[in-house]
Amino acid sequence: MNDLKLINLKNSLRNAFFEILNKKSVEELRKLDWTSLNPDFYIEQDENNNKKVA
Amino acid sequence: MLSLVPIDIVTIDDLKNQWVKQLDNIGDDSDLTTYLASQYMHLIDWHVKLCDDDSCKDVYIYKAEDGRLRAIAEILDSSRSKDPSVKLLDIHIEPDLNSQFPDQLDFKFMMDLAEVFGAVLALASRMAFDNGTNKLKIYGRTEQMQSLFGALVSQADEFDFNMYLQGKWLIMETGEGK
Repeated sequence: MNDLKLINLKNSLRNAFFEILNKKSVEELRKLDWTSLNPDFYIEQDENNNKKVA
Repeated sequence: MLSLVPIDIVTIDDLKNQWVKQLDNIGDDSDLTTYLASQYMHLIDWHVKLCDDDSCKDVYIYKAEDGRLRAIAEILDSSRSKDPSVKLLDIHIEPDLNSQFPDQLDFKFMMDLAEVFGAVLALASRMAFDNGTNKLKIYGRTEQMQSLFGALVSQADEFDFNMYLQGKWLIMETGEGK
């Protein structure tokens, strides 16, 4: 696979990912394995809107 | 040129320096940030140990054109398996693009994230091309990941390569095009 084909492939995938990811909320994104280091824990907000691990 | 660099003690050290700077720049000392920073250090230390044990041959670092080390990718050459392919098992993204840090996401964040995912998949596809299998299998561990793969496949008509689902795997075949 030459560099031009690689870049075209990367750009096609980038555009597709952007279209999909851009429709997601931050909460939805946090549940994806690739966008979180550990999607298996939850983030809660306290009464002062401070985030904390739950 | 963008590339997937095989991990070794030098590249993981470079990555550690870059990612620690990013964590420092986040600059708050909330419980969440402290926890995520410790998770990142655990991830990096784990890979340092893999390198020390000489057992990190299936781990690569995505290096962008500007030299930034933006993700760790676990990629397996399965060319000798029953279903010859390259398998992308997981991606660990840099702290700057970790969705757990920001409260809101902007255009640049989403574009950068899409760029990293697109680049890692394209480079892994090139590995599949180079090893003669022309098939990249991408594992979706959770329902959320499988849903993301489903959304990608729904756009497959616009691609000049084949993409489809097979159980928990997203398959990309780039060798011959459509």
